[in-house]
Amino acid sequence: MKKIEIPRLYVYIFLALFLVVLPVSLVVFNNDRAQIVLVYSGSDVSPNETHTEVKAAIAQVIASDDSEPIKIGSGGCVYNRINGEIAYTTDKHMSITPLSVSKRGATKLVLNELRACGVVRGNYCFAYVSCENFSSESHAATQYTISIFGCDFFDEGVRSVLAVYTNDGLDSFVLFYN
Amino acid sequence: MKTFKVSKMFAAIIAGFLVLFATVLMIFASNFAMSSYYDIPINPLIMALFSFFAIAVAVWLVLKIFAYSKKGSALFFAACLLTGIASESYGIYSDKISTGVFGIFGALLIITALVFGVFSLYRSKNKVMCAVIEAVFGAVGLFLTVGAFILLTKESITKSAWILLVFPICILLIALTSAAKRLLSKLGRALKAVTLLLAVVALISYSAAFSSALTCTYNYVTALKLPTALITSAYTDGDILFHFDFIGERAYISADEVGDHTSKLTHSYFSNKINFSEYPAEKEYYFQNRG
Repeated sequence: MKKIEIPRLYVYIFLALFLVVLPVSLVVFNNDRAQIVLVYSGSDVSPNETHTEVKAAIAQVIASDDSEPIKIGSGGCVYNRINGEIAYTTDKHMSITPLSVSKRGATKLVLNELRACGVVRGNYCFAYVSCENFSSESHAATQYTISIFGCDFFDEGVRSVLAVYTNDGLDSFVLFYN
Repeated sequence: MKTFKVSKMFAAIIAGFLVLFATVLMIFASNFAMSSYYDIPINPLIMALFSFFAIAVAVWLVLKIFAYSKKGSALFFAACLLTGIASESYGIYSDKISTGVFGIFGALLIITALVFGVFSLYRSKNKVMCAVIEAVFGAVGLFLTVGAFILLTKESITKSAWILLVFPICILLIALTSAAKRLLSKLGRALKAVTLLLAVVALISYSAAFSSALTCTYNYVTALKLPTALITSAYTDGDILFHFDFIGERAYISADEVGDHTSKLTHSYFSNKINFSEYPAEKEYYFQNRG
């Protein structure tokens, strides 16, 4: 079989590009991802409740057989278990002024709130945002529904949060766990 | 220049490996892009760029392998194209939206076959064929350049969409410099360098547009055509762009990823306009359980 000739210089350039430039550039520019991993216990979930209260509430919700909501602390937040998921909601009502933040802005705000609450931390995840204007007789608002996937590429378990962000801030979130 | 002498079989295996490597890079690029905040994420851009570069090297190797065999070239073109179509079809069939490895591997094989076909025809030195190829590329480049200019005048388009203007201009200029190189043999070497430079710029800008598309969709095939689809939409839409709706495709997340909820997502591509998507499942769930 006939052989083909490949200039050595080309081979060296190719190897340098793929073995040196590619990995180095990926490491250098590795700073534009949302750095999150979900944790659903271990610190305050809501700003209004204490660490211990929230941990106890989540433990209670996980342990309980029924889906009765559990209200704890002075914050008025409700924790319950629906279809195997833990849900947290507040009694806030959405105000009239629509939000004027972009989807990415909303994502950042929600992630910051979730971080501050200790719900998410650490590595990266995927975040998707939907945005809807809706109104009723009593109020109108823009609702951002943000799905955050705590999915490490090599992690078998997928953790996710479905967060709803309204004019009042983080309105509710649902933790999905496997 | 010193050279390595390698068998054609070995070169073919390397070319195949490069296409597989490009596929893996694309998958990583998609995963990275989805978690990025930026319109044009850098990391996926680098991965997409190297992925397309790997395809270019694979095509170059195959062109060398079949340099003196028209029959071999035709067979390779047909085999590569058919395998690509079969792989992509299976990807679409199995994943519904061509997000899997078969989908992108098929798409890259089709790109390899088409680029190889065009270069093989151009290298045949047939004047009519060369002129036709240059004319087609020139017309496509001009059409997309004008489209990109119109697109950038729209209110809803973000500033970073200027990247969509770069690669059509490069395609147009490549067609012009190729024609000039063929007709003005004295300037051949200089024009060849210019053409190569333009090709590199085109590759970088398309990779940027593609990586941005990957932030909007898991669907690689959609992401591949999204830059040109958005430019083309400039001719038909008014000030309001419909993006995925206009193109007729949406990004879906499989229900497995979000538990019992099926999420439909419509992201904006280089647009300030908020897309209003329907989320019946999440909406209903939210209002049922918000206490």
